[in-house]
Amino acid sequence: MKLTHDQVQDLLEGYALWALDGTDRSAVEDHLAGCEACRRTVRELGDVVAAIPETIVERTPSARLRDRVLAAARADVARRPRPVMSFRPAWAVSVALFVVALASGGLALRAQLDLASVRADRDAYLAIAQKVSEGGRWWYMAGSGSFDGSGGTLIDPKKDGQAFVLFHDLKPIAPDARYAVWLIRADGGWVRAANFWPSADALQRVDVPLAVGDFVQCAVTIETRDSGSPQGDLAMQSRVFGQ
Amino acid sequence: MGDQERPDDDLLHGLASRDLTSLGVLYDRYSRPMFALAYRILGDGQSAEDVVQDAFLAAWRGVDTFRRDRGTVRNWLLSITHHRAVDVLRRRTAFRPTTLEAVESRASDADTFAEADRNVVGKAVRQALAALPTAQRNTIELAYFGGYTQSELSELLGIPLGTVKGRMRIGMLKLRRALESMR
Repeated sequence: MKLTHDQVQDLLEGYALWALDGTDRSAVEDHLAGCEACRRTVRELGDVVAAIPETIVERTPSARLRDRVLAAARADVARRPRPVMSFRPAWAVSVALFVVALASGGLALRAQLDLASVRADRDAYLAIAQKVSEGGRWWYMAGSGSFDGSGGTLIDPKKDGQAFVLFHDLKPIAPDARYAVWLIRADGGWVRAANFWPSADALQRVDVPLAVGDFVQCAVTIETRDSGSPQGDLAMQSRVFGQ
Repeated sequence: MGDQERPDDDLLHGLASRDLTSLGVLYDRYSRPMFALAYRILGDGQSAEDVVQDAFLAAWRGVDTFRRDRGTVRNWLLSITHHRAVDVLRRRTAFRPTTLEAVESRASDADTFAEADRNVVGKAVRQALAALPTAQRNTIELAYFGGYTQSELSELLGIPLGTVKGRMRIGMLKLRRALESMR
């Protein structure tokens, strides 16, 4: 659903209060990606909303909650090692592929499928990363849990090309499910950028019809609906752009 | 400097490097307002604790999404808590009050607010909220604490959707002006 600027302005208070349904929220977030005036209004409204919880008195949770939180974080470390901290062949393949994609304007990727066999060593990876940092922006999403081994790179071409994700080694999913690509704002808000189904090819391109400039991270979940907030399992997630 | 005195930014750097001590200090610093907010929204301690745990884990995983120029660590954590608590509440559709009478008590938690007056900021915000006309205040509180969408509020209150939006807009504008005058 595409909303006009005036329609979005009519929804910004509800957006700031988290009082929109999923369809309206997604439409507002789509608009915010390309409208600085509305983003400024949302930031101002956010300051007001942030004051509301100050009206309630603090409460102490049970003593065991602290242990639960720390145990969950400890388990998360074991389950989800930081993708950038270790060099992975799949990462190198994807980086090499998107460098080619950038060089070719993001087109004709199918012709590059043979590059799936590329294996770069650490030195080559660093050189590629350096080259990319001077060109388009990119995020790599590493699969986790049952999606370990799969991944994708969100590429925002330097020039006026459309952003897209180049996925590799996507896992099959249930017939009634779909992959959802999310862009994540600095305030933690998730905007659904695309839904797609795995093609069973080694590589798959998915276009992202949003301006990604105001987002800092991306992720992929498995969803049963085409719209609404993320509800399903997290399949892959990037670090923040530029870090 | 002991761990408990470490600034928030330092603790976030700790989270980024997977330091559980930093997470523990953040928990000690902010779990009480987070739990209070989740409890206020969900109305039971177990669900509120689940939300707080979920919020801390989200912060642990997504510390990179925090932007200093967009607000404080406290506000960031409370925002995560609010969104998750409301999402949980909305999944309990069958248990949500569907009449205004049933939700009015939740929208005006006098004892809770009286306690909050001990806090200077809380008192100021509370006064700003109290100064709003009842209709505007209820609309904002039902949305924020009750998790109602604008469309649901229209149905619940028996008023046009445009009126709900208008009440929110004017109420938020007045709150904003009141808060600005305090600074």
